[in-house]
Amino acid sequence: MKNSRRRFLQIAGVSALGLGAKPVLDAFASESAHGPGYHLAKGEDAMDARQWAMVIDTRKLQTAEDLEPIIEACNKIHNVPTGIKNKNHEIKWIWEAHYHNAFTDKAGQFTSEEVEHRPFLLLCNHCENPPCVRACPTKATFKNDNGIVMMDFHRCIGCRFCMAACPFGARSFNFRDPRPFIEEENKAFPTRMKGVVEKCNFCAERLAVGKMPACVEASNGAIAFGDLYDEHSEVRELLKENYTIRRKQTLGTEPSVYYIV
Amino acid sequence: MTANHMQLLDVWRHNVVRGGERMFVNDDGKLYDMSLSNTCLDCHSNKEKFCDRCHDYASVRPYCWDCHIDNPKGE
Repeated sequence: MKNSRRRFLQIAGVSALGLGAKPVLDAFASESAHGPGYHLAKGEDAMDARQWAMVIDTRKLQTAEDLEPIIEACNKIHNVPTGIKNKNHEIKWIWEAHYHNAFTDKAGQFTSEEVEHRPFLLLCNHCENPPCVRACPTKATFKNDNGIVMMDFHRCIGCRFCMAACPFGARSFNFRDPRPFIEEENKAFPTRMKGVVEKCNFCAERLAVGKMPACVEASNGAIAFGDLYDEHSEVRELLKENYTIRRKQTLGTEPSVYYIV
Repeated sequence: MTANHMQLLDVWRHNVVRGGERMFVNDDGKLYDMSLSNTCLDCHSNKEKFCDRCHDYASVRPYCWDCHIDNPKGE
């Protein structure tokens, strides 16, 4: 007796819920059938990859003068403020570093002098397992469909957790309004504002229109760019034929920037 | 558009930055590159008249122009 009463109430409850939910579900169904009227698409020339990667042939970039046009091309295109004098407030997307600072875990006491004194180009490694993405509390930093570690500056609250998480120092914080320090403004690309973190975006805006990243174009063939998971891509061919190193590989972040030494 | 441009811009922002989709096809099938500075302001090139007039009247202060360049043609 007691059991059947409970059963009755259960059935009554479920059916009441069902009746109540029906008009709501109908409303949802009609809305999705109608649609928003517009649609969105990637551009015809957009390039796609599972994981974009870069191979830098440091043998072809022997001096600081070789790196200069590459760094300059990036700075110009992305409105990177280069006029900031205070080292602590500096903004860097792609920069030059000494071997010992670039490859801290590979710097032996006695290494090839030629390699040791070469300048190295450093940039965001667009890790396959990026610690900055895990640290970001607002998902302003995220990994996009092509494996690029992207920043959504609209969402960045400037907490700088990502800077603490990044083992490569690839991120810079805008301690002040960067606009007065931009030497030559590129009108087609936004600047940043005070209080957000910024870094290299692997030229996502150029890949979307079928262009190679600015540094790759400016490098005269010293930098190769392609899909890491496409066996026949330029980067995979280079990786097959040359011995390459990556920065701080032991940390397990799987950097996508490889260096031929 | 006056009433709903913020919704449109929000769709644009989300899909360009997070989805990597940059082309917008409207109800009439016309194609647009989703870009505030390069598309909207390409025709509506006077920001003072096109944006600020209403924003000042309504006392809203969107921070679009802290980053986006408000004069893409450099006039």
